[in-house]
Amino acid sequence: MSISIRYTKGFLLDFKRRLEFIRDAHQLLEMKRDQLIRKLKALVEELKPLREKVEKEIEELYGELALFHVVYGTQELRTASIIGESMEVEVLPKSVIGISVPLITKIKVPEVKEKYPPHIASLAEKMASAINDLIKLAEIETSIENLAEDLQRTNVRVNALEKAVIPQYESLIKRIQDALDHEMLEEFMRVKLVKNVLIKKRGEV
Amino acid sequence: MSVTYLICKSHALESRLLSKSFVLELASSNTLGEFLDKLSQTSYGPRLRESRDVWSVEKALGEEFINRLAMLLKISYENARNFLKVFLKRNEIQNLIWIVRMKKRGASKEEIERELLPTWELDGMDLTPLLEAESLDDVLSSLKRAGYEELAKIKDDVLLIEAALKQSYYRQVFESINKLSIADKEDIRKLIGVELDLQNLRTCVGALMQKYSREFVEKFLLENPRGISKRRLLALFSKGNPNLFIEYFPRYAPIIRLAIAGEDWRLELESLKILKKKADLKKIPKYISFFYVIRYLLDLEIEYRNLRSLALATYHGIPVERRKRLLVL
Repeated sequence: MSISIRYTKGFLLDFKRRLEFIRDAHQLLEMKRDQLIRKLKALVEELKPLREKVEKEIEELYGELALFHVVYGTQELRTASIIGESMEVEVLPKSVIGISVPLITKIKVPEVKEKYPPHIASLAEKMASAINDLIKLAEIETSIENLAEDLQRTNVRVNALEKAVIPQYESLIKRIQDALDHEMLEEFMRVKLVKNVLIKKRGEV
Repeated sequence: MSVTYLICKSHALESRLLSKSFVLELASSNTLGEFLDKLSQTSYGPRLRESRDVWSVEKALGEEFINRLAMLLKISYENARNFLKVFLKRNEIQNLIWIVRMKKRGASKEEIERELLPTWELDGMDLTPLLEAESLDDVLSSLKRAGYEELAKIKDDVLLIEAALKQSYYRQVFESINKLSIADKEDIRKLIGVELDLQNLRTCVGALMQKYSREFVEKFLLENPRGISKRRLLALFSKGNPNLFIEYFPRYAPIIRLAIAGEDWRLELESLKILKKKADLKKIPKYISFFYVIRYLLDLEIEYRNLRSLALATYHGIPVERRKRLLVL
């Protein structure tokens, strides 16, 4: 980042103001990062048991589905799977610390009871329950993804401010401050020299 | 051609069914390719030549099954032919159920066609008008015109249509048995009665476990003139205790226990096993008996189901030992 600088008092004050603003922003971003980490931790803790449950549920379900397929054949499985109505969901964005995460709402949950012949009903019921858990899992996983993406961006910003922008500004301010000090000293010396010359001249007179 | 020829032909065809040891050998195949290689050595070979994946294998097996049924129909005559035509309608009913389910969801003619067994080869109804029907109502109208009078008061409830189609099938089967001029009519009636008992018990106990209402079950129970009456089943259902079914019908205890345990896929296998056992254990005094034809038809269906199960089980990677338990032998 190249910044054009002028070694003036006004410029120094402006830079000091900017640095103060950047430090505030850095502090805020650090707070956001901590908050994101806390949120992510909570979601990951929620995700772990749910994922284990869903994986176990799906594994059992696929096993049962495979057996149903083997015993009843493809046509029966395919056509039985479309007897019931479809589930309808609505995905709305929800804001968590300003980050958009999905909120999945079930608009229409298909009835299983008395909608399938008894030999399919229990499988359909297990499937419906697994889909509910899958929706919850999808919601949490997408939230984690979005939050993690933002955390990564926030982290990059915090690090950039901490490791590059703030030190650069501090060094610039120091350079301007040094240059101004140097200029002041030069001025002082010049004034002192002129004063001595003037005193000398008055003495001769 | 006489009924005697049909019975003798059934004896001959029965001997051509795959042996138990060969089916077990097929079950040990590690891949679908290996399964196909072994099966291609048999009379299924020409039909399987074009099959590459599990779906085409399943389709080919279905076509071969219908083809073998059609062959039997071709050599039968008069009353026996009429009975067989009606008896084999079970495959058409299966097709109709699939058509109704898919039409309800607005599937296209091509999509439905892919799923069907070629039951028109069994002198069945022409399914084209049903496939081309624009709605389920049109399908229902066509079926009503085709003689499925049980559908008269049904609108678009898929489950009710399925139950009515099955009810219509069994009514027609019992009617056509009466027209048969053979000595072992009663044995055939009893076997079909057992089949109906098994279906009804599965419906009853399954519905009880799913907490379905009495009204629902009433619509799905099929009238059985040679088995447990619908009224008796409903009375037991109303008591709400599935174990009572074991107490009242101990000969069906294995099926009822499976239904209580919710092992629906095993129910299908056990039902077939019970039917096969019933048919195999039947002591037929004469070599020339029509019951042999029915037994051959049952064995043929079991062979078709066994081969389909093995192809699909191999595709799903189900372990060999488990695969063997999926067979009806």
